[in-house]
Amino acid sequence: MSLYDAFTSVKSGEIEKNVHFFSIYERYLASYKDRPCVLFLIIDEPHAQAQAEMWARYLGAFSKIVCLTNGYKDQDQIAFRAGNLDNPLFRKQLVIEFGAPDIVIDDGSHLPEDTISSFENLNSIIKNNGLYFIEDTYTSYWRNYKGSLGESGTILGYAKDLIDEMHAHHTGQVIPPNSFSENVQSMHIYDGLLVFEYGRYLDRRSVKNF
Amino acid sequence: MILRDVTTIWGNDHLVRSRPSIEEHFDVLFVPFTVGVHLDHDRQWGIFSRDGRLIDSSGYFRGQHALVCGNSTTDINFDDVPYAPEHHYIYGGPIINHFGHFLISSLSRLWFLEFHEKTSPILCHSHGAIPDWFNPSYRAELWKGAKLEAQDFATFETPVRIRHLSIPRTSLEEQNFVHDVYGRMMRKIGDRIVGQKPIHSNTTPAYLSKHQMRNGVTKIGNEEEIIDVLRDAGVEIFCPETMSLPDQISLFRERQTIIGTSSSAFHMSIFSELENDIFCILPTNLLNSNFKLIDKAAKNKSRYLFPKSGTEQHENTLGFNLYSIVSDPKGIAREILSRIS
Repeated sequence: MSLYDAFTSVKSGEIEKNVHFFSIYERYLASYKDRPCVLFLIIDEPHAQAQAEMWARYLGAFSKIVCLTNGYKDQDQIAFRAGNLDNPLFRKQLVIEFGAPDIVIDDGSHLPEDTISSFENLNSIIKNNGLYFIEDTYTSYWRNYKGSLGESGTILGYAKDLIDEMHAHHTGQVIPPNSFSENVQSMHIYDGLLVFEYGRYLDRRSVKNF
Repeated sequence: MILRDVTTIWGNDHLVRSRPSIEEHFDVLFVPFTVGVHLDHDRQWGIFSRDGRLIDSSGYFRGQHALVCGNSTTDINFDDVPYAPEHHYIYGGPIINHFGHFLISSLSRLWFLEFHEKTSPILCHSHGAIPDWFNPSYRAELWKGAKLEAQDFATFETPVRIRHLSIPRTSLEEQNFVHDVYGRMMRKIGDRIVGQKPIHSNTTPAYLSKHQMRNGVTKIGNEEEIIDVLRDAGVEIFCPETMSLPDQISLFRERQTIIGTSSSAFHMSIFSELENDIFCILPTNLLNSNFKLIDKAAKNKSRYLFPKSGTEQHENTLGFNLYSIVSDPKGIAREILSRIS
């Protein structure tokens, strides 16, 4: 089942996604299909059930979808846990109960402070080869989401700084090695969607063949 | 126009958005401060790996990642050193006597407390017994704000081997960089220090004066002439050294506009949610970038100004490393007032 098929097959509630997101998600998530994996979904309560169903159908029967919101009764593949991600105990409880997430998708408030805070908090628990998606990043340009062109406090303003911070090892210590440079291998900036690939570079030397 | 914006910044002032990293090190050597030797001249202390090299993430750096104490290696033989009693410690860095450096460096590794459980002793470098570290009292207040007590700390008077040491990288490196998380941590510490004390917003500008101080790093000797003009214009004058820590923090939380000459008293803005308008008078066209680092973490809108009318400077005079007499102090004050309005 493609993600788009999963999207159209859900009837329990409304889901709204940009059309071009489907193919981007397929590019990154195809290898997780029908394999055991844990997805943490940051989402508001009214949309949680439908989106969780979509992801469960797409990723298959061995996936676990954990919605970080108030919600409904837990179902076979879907759980709902509300809490403050700033609280290390809440994060620890999530990991104890479900394990470290393979995938995080933030389709929550889209307010910059929430999005950045969630990203920083979940950074420390996502799997070493995990994937982190932030949706609807074009809200960085919308005033009702505290955005505007060139505004550094938005998620895209933050992401622009992260480009430099990922390259910390090459800045002559002007930027120190940091939690981003040490845990994230790449970031992909799509129209409206940010994708972070977690992983560690064990060796950054430049080598020659002879 | 007497005042100009400072253009010469001594050091870097980069703001890092992501958090510092935490490194895990196994079987490392803790070498304490040398008794009777001032930190700036102590080349022995540090956290060293088996090859005798200082572990970079544990170092005390300033400027372009230059070691303050030159303690890059040790000759101590690991095999001659006993193990510390606990299996795991968390490194807290050196505890520095100077108030400003204590704020920007000695607290800078404690950011991890907001994100990780305090499961092991916090290993620090300092002189004396741990209970004595809590004097002067501002340290006790700041550590209490960070939810730390004497029993949370550990240190050793002789070298020890540490089986497992977690090293949170510093969230502020002097004259080099500051992480966003440093500001967030300090605002939380400020919240706890001030407690339930209500905030009364006050639009009257405040002036932080050094005119009663008898020793320190820098002083403008004819500052009182500046103060006279400001006071006549309704600016309230405060002497930070006579105020309690909570009152100093509250001042930055209540007053939008703060004026003064360069002083670590301005560093108290880091404890304030309010993004202050700061007007800081400098004797020369030179600003230590630590002030810019604090501004970035505190989100201040600061102007650093020096008089083009001239300054007479004296080193190591009247109790100050740099003692200056500015030309036309009343004109300087009037121009500050004009800029504020």
